[in-house]
Amino acid sequence: MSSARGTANHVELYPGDTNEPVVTASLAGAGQDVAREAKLDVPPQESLAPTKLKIEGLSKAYGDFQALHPLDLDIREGELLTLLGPSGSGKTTLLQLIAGLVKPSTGKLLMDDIDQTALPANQRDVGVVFQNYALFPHLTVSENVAFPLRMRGEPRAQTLERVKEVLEMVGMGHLGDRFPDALSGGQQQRVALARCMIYRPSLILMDESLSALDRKLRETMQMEIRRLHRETGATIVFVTHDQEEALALSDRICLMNGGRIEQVGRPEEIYEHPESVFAANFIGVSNLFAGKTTDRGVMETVFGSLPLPESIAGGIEGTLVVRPEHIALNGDDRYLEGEVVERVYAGAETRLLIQVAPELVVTARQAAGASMLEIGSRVGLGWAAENARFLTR
Amino acid sequence: MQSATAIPTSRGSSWMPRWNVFHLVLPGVIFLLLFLLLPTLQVLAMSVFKQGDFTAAAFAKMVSSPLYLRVFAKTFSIALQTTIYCLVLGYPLAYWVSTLNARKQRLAMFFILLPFWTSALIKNFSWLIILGRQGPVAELMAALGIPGGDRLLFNEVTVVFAMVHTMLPLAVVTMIPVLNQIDRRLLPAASTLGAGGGRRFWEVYFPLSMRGVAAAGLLTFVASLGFFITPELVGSPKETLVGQLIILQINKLQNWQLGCALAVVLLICALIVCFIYDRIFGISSMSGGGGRQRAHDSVLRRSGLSLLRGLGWVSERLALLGRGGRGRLWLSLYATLALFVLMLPIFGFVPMAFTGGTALTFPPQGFSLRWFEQFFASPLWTGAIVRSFVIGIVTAAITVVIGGLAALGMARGRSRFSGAVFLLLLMPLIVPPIVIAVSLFYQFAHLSLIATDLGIVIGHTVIALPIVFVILLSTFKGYQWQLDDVSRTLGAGRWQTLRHVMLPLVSGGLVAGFFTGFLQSFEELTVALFIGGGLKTTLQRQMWDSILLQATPTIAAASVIVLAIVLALFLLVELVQSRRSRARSQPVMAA
Repeated sequence: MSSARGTANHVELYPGDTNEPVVTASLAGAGQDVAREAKLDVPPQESLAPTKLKIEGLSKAYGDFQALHPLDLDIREGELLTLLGPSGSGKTTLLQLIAGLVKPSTGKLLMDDIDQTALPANQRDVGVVFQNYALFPHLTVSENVAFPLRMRGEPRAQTLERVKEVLEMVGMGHLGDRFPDALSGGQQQRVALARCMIYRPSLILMDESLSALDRKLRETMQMEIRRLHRETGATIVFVTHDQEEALALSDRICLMNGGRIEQVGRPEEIYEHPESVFAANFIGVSNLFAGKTTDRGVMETVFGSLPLPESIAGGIEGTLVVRPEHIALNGDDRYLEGEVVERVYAGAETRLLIQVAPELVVTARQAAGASMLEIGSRVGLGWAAENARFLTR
Repeated sequence: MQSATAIPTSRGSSWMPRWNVFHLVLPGVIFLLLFLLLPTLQVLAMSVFKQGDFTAAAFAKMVSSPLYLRVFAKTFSIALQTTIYCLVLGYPLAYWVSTLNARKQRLAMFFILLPFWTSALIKNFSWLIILGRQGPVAELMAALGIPGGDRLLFNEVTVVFAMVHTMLPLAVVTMIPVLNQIDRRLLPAASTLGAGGGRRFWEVYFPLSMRGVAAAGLLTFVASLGFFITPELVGSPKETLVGQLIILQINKLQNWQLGCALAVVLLICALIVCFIYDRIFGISSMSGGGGRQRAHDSVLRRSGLSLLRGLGWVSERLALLGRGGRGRLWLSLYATLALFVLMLPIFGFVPMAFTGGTALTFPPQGFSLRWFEQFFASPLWTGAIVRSFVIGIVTAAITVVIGGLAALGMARGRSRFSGAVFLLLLMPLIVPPIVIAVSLFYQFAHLSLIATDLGIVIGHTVIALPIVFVILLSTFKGYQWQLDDVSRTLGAGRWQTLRHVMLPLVSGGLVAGFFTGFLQSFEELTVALFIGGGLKTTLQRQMWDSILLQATPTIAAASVIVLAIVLALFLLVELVQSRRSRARSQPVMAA
């Protein structure tokens, strides 16, 4: 494991396109505390709205496999919370537990302070939009949307009226008589949304609901979901492995990894103040430098001494995280030196990959209009010390 | 699976650029026009013309005679009972199989397919012994002091029981693929929308399985209509069915017109049932393809949905399917029992073949191999087994070639005739075998093909073609045709592509098709009965004649031999099939 230390820098070229960033190397270097319990500190300024769903020590094991370690989480009334994580991180298991499709091994689930742990799915006030939409192929769009109201024994006339209303709301009013297989992916998505919205569940769960759509459509649907969320004031839990989607949609993000919660917070909090190497790596691009603090207030690495953002006692092993946009090229501070090996043009900015050592490539950003550095040119790297983050896990 | 059909025709040109690939269906089409449609029309003509003059005399006789009307009524009644029992008993079994994981499902399928492939003759002969006066059941009942052990055979209950037993594997095998296709994720979705167990089943699962239920009902009913083996062996004269009457009129009394008229009535009934099926589900849905374009406001659909809603509501109130754990246990128990009863007659008579005595009594008197010796010493039996093998192999070869070409044409080509061609290729499933046999008998009489091996081969090819065609169609539809383009871009020529890419991938399907064709021929009795003409007897025909004459332990020995052969071939097919499905599942797992 310790041999992976030197390669602690993980470089992600195209964060939007890679669904599952490879994080093993950086994790290995971070020296994770396996026995750590996921305990969360909710920042005080955000606990204004009442708690909709309270999760206490909830866990799920399949035989020997611990899909979800015991965790606590509060979801507030009217917020849009994203469960973000790579596949196998336990986010879908958590969603199934909330929906009541899977029985928890331990823990409790309280909705509006009422214990719902033992309630089967069909008696919970929860709506789910499934990854594959799960529209009933033998029923028309209208019949699909009417299904939940029928199950609740609503009067027929009222049901028909509501169906019309909700289909109009998602812009599908003219297609009520179609069968699902005659619809496009985006249209099916709208129907699935309508079917969930119609009975006004107090909690809506969305399982990777947009992952089957192409990029343009996905962005349109993201706007749509934000609009519906604003207009209906529903509480939404959205599961995704796409960090961009999570950043764009969420009021708060719950970052998950290996069946545990890694960090919970507003998108900018997680981006600017990641609490772990995993968080730093999974959201956005990070440059990671593994090393050990010294008594002189710097961190000693195999590439040289790097300044610490705050005073930290000596002798602590950890990782220094620096975002590419904070890296100054040929500026006043020059901690490292390297050679430009790749230039990725992305319109508003250009991303530079700079080889510092055989096993260390640093990513830096250059705003449009800055003087271009050619591939092969030598460059000095520095950053304002306070923009770096020192992480011990 | 379906993506192959959706590929535009321009892509098809990569394989055979000059002409339409659809033309490959021609050999199969011509074959069936010559040996199915034409002879059937001749039979139709035969029933209404006498020496060139139109006459409805045969039909008049049928309608006026209470005997015929009674036989028709009995035939319908028994076919209907058989169908209903097969669906009611088969659905839970098929459902159970579809819920198993892949490995267990393969094992369960073995216990369903083995009875499916064991000939109706052997199974019914077995019941004759097991339920006979001196059979094990009678002995057991006597030992327990239960009366009636000597009257188990020769009544309607036993006929229906044996018919259901014979047809059940067909019904289950037809339903399972449809149940397997149902998207299981819809059930938790229904749950979160507020549906309980009963409504999940009746309003979501059941309507999605309807296609399979209807197809199973159709095939079972059509097969039961012309069935004669069961009533002949385990029924009394009161249970005489139309099939037996046709054999009597044509084979014994040489009354062609009446025999043909009876066959025509059977055919019309089968076609009416098919027509109804087609109106509701679309005949093409039988191959697993998409069914007919649905209308959302049809009366039938509306009333069907209302009925299911009622059932869902009621069962939810009764909480019949509400509790998962207990229901699962009962289902497994039922399925195990059903599989046991399916297997029982297949192995139940085996001890009797090794009896030392001269009668088929239970328990067998001592152990001996004398009946096997007698079997192999008799030129009649050995001649029959050799003939059966030769006919089976030739039939299988011809069927795979014309069925394979037709499947290739259907999978790759496009034509406005494809619907009609598909229907024609499945026709032999819809026309009762006895009608096929009678039609060919009449046609071959003019072609001097009666009592020839070639005649039997042609008849068996007609019978085997649809199933082999369906197997090969799914093989070709499952093949990723893009791989051909890939191979060509990598520098392989057309023949190299065929040899190194396509053949290895479809070979499993071809082998399965070949053995299926062979087994169909090897187990076939009806055509052999009519076309063989008493001289060219196949093994099934020889067994049939011997059973009617006198049931001796030699027949039990012959059955054991047939069973051993079928079992060996069946295991071989299973081996190939499972290797094929494993090979196919690999890319899925990698993705």
